[in-house]
Amino acid sequence: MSAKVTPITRPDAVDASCRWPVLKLTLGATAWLLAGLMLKLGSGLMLHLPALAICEYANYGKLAAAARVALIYGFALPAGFGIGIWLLFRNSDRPLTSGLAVLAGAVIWNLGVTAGVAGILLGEGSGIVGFDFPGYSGSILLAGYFLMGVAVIPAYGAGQRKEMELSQVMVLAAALWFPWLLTSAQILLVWFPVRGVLSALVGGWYFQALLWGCLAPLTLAGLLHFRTGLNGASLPRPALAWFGWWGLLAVAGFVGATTLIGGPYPAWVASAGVVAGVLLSLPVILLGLNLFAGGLARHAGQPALQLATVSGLSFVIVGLLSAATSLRCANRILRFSMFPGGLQDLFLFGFLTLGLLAGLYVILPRLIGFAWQQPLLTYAHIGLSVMGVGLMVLSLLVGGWQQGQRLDSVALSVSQVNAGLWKFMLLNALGLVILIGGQMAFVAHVAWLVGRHFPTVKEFVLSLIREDVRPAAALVRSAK
Amino acid sequence: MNQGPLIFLGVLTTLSASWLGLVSVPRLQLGGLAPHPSTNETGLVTYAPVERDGSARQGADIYRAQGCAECHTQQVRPSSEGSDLARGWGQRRSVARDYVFEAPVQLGVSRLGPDLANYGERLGTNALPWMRLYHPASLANNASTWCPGAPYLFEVRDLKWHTASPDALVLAGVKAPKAGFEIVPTLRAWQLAAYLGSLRQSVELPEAALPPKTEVP
Repeated sequence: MSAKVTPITRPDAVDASCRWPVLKLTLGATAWLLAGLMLKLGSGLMLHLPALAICEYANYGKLAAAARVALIYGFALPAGFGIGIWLLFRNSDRPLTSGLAVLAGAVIWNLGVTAGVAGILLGEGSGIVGFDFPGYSGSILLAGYFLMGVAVIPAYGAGQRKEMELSQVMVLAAALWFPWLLTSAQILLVWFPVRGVLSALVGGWYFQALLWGCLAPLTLAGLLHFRTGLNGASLPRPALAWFGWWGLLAVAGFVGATTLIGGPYPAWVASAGVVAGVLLSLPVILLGLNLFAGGLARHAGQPALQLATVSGLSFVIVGLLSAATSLRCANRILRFSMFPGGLQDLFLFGFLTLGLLAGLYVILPRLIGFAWQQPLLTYAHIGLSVMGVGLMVLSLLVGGWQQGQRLDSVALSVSQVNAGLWKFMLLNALGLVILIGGQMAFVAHVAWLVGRHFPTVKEFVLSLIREDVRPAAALVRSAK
Repeated sequence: MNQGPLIFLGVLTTLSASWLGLVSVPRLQLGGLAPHPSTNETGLVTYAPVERDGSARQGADIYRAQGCAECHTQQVRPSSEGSDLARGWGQRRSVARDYVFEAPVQLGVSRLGPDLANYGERLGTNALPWMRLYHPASLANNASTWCPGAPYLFEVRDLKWHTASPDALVLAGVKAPKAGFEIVPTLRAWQLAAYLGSLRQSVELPEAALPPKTEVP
């Protein structure tokens, strides 16, 4: 019996097969990132300038929830899916043969996000943090995802012949977790809603599992890939990395219990939260060790690696701080302060956003066929992003610590506690403005590149359609 | 080696474990919770908690839609977990039975504003929270509030076409309406007020006793 020989596809051909669906996912995600940051800025303005709160469709609560949906479902998930798809097929030397289905799925997904944001602003949000969108939006998101997932996973599985790398396994696992999570949440929160505290329990389980079990692996997959792919350096402790990965997956589903400590639940739920929070530190340390030991930070000469370094560092810090704050002594003080918001911003902006943007720095030149050519814009993007995220997170962590201690003391009224918060809130808003400035630089860079090579958008689109295989990698190399 | 089945099994196991732990088991434990019956001195059987009336239920929808839970919690933690009881936000800790009629429950995640689990108790029986909804910063003890209020739940009425309402807000300064006009709560403001007034957890439950009343000598 003769062994079946699997044809190897050239990297340029793999890039060409991924071009349209991945561009749709990642460029759409970039637009949602800007929209989400604007919504977040709008919600902050409502706090600083209450006189603006004259419009029912744009109050603080609605804008904050809409920003969350735009950033998580509009930016982080599609960007993660796009980078994940590219990474899966590029590493397996196989072309994406179901690009049209992925493209259609991405369009439906974006419709779902748009419906979700609009629904929240119209007052139809679910009121459950992390699952803020209306039920119909969740159904559209599910339809979009299934179209993408059904197109990609079997196609990838059928073509896979090599031993899978850790980054590929992470993407696949996240791709399998996500539909189960979202379907479960849709069933229990929308179609056959559970009552009472169970709805908060399901919501907490869903949101934290989404963050740690889907979004974290999608981002980590990119970081590990860049570490090995761009540097040519192998993982220093591959066995520990695999152990850390499975550990993260095992704990991720229980991290939701950390957000329920002290609430109206049976005592064992709080105990499970403390245990899950503390256990989370172990996979975070193991994966952090593999990211940084002799690798990522030492080769931070490229934009992608600079962003990936900050992203990896944010992952380790947020993991360790989450573990520390799940301890009862800390939870008592920080539970309802701005501190958890600071941790969430560190996760969402420091880890996810910067990590996924690092991925875009790698894959966009390979997809559109020309390299980044404005170092000033790149430095502005990276510098402003890191500065903005740092200011946002530090202001919330320090302000939250102070707020928590004051709230724990009955000597001060809530109004008196609030009086000490304005400077932290102002710094947070300033950080957000700086972060938005950084993303503007990134968008300007992409627009400049496209505009320089193609006088009109039509010409750009036509060129992408006409040329099946662009020598993008060669262009990237020559630009260096 | 084909690692697909191994990955699938690993993903299935890890997700199922958390599903069992945080969704299925709590559902078995708490899914059957019902209001607790008790008999008062006249022999009348009452249940706690009480289901809200239609107006308060619509108010709950407004509370959810406006995203009030972004800044207000509705859960009183035990003394070991925080100073909620010492702050007077409730007489006892909140328990799962307090929320059996709520879907979805609005427990909240942040306290930029005070906890509202027993706001109805603090408000009193006949008081209405109009100024707190219309312009919270105007309240004497609330100058540093972050709450922007919800003035869109009120309407400006021309007194040429309406008789003066007893519920019109008494406002001074820049917030005062022009002469010949008044600002009154809309139906939705009444519904939200009904919901806020219904936020009460000071009833004795088997799993959450009220503190003993101190007798005045």
